[in-house]
Amino acid sequence: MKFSPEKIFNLILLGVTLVIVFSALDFPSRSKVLPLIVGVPALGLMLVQVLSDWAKPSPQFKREQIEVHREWVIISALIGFPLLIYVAGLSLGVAAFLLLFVRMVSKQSWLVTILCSLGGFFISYGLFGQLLHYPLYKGLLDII
Amino acid sequence: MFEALLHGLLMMLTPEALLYQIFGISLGLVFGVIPGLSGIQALAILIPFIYGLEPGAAFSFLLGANVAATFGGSITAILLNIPGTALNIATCWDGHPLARQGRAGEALGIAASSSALGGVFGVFVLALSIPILQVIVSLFQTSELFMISLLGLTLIVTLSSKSMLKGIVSGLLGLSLAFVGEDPMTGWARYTFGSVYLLDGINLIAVVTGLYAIGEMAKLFVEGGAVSKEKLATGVRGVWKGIQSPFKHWFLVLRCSAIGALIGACPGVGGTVANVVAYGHAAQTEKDPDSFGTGRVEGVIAPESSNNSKDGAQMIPTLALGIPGGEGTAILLGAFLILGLQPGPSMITEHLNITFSIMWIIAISSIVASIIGLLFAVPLSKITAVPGRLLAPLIISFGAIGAFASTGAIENIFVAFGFGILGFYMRRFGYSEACLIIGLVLGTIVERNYHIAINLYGNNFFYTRPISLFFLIAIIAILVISAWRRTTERQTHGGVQA
Repeated sequence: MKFSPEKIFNLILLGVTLVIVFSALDFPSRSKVLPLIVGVPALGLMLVQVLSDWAKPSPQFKREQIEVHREWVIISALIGFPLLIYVAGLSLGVAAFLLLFVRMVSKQSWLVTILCSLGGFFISYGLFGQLLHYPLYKGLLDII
Repeated sequence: MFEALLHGLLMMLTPEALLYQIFGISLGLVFGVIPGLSGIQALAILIPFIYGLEPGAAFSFLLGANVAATFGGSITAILLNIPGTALNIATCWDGHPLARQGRAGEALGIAASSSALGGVFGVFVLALSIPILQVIVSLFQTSELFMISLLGLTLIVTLSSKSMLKGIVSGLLGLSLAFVGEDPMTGWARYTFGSVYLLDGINLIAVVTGLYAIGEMAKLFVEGGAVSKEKLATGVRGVWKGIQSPFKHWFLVLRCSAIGALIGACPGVGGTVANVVAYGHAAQTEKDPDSFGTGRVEGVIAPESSNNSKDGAQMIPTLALGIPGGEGTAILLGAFLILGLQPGPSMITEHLNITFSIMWIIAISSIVASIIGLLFAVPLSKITAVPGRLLAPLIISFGAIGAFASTGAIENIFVAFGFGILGFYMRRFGYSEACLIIGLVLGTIVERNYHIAINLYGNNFFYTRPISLFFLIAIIAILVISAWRRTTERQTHGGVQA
């Protein structure tokens, strides 16, 4: 079987439903009733989906190279951004993400980049941190 | 009751509440004109901002944004032929042809006026239903609430239009997510994998922000270009003529508002269905049906009046039973909990003033949003020209801030981005994020009421209690009708293809 992204995604969901069902088996009897009522049909349906993936030929749909590239960029950003916040804190993380993304990926001018970055910083630090006195996450760096 | 009605009005007339309403409406219009973003995303992102607010101000802010987003979506639907939200699909069909004929201003006026009238009608229905609801809700015990939750879950089938299997799997995954955390009955930690954070369950706001705001923006970024690929149809003359049109077609406004209110009151059906059904009704009942789609005034009045009338009506199951009337109200349930309110019968008995306040807010927001929307129609629609590569990082950043601010836990950000990636691939591979959200929201209600009902009434409560039996029959009927409709459609399409 040739693995397409959709087939891999379906396999991951099958794995998730397996975890749902097998983890529920260890729960006390009253706690596992509904998780099993929900989990077993989900597992069954995902098995049907994965088996039908095996049965049918992969569609010969070729995606544009630029779309594949953009997908890698955005997925990397969606993984990297939370890590950046975890290290640098919310305000600095948001400002740094906007600075890097808008300049390097969106290819905007320095003026637009700095405005976006400052805007993100203003909303997180200025609005939440200062105006609403919301305790912000300071990250491992523990700066602001 | 009259006292509660008056108190409700006063709650939304405080300077703080009015200020938040204007602010919410302005933000809602911005969300509405950006396709992919709707009142749902507006609610998801703005919900953390209500911490510490009075209920009047909080609901003015959120409902103002939610109502305004619908009209914001009409602006791009008419000017650009791009429905800003799924609720504006039918508005494109005659609204944009009117704009292309140089009657954009008239079409915008029709949309504004119809939306305002529809919004007031929906609220009128809600107000009329309150005395009846007070009697009805006293008959609803845990077994009935469980059955209603199940009824809400059957709508997963309705929403699974593309693939029934994938829609149901999405709904079941949402239900499974609702079981994460301490079991309310036994205290057993389920699916927490040793995490203290997960003991409280999955954060709904983080999930919604991830699935809708982050996932949608990731999709926009990958597709490339700006949201709008159409040239902006400028020229907004004839607004006043448009505003008058719905008054001339008052009976159509009334009928389509009734359709919107009826569909809105059914949990989970949503405004998308309402605007299409109302358009269909207009096309079937008005003269010269063949000219619909070429720029008929009635083709704009019908979907727009039904769109906003559903907002008030959707609050009926939400307020009276704690069952979300749609995706937006599902998120709004979170706002009730943040404000220390329990949606359900207590909103009709103990907090009737807040219920009336919500009613006033929807009615006045519908009118104010239409006025503000008309004033800023053209500049707002230019947001759609912002390239996706610039819009995506901005909205994703707001999503991160919103997810964190919902409970102040850094883990929320990881949950939001995890669901952002999941939402991106769910969209790409035909799974339904709407079904997942419905499952997640209703899962908790289903489980809690299931256990209490079993303890109180035994295992057979499904058919031993009359109202529960009624809902059981309704659930079976919905599933049978849905299956029959799908089979008929398949045969019709098969016949056409053959």
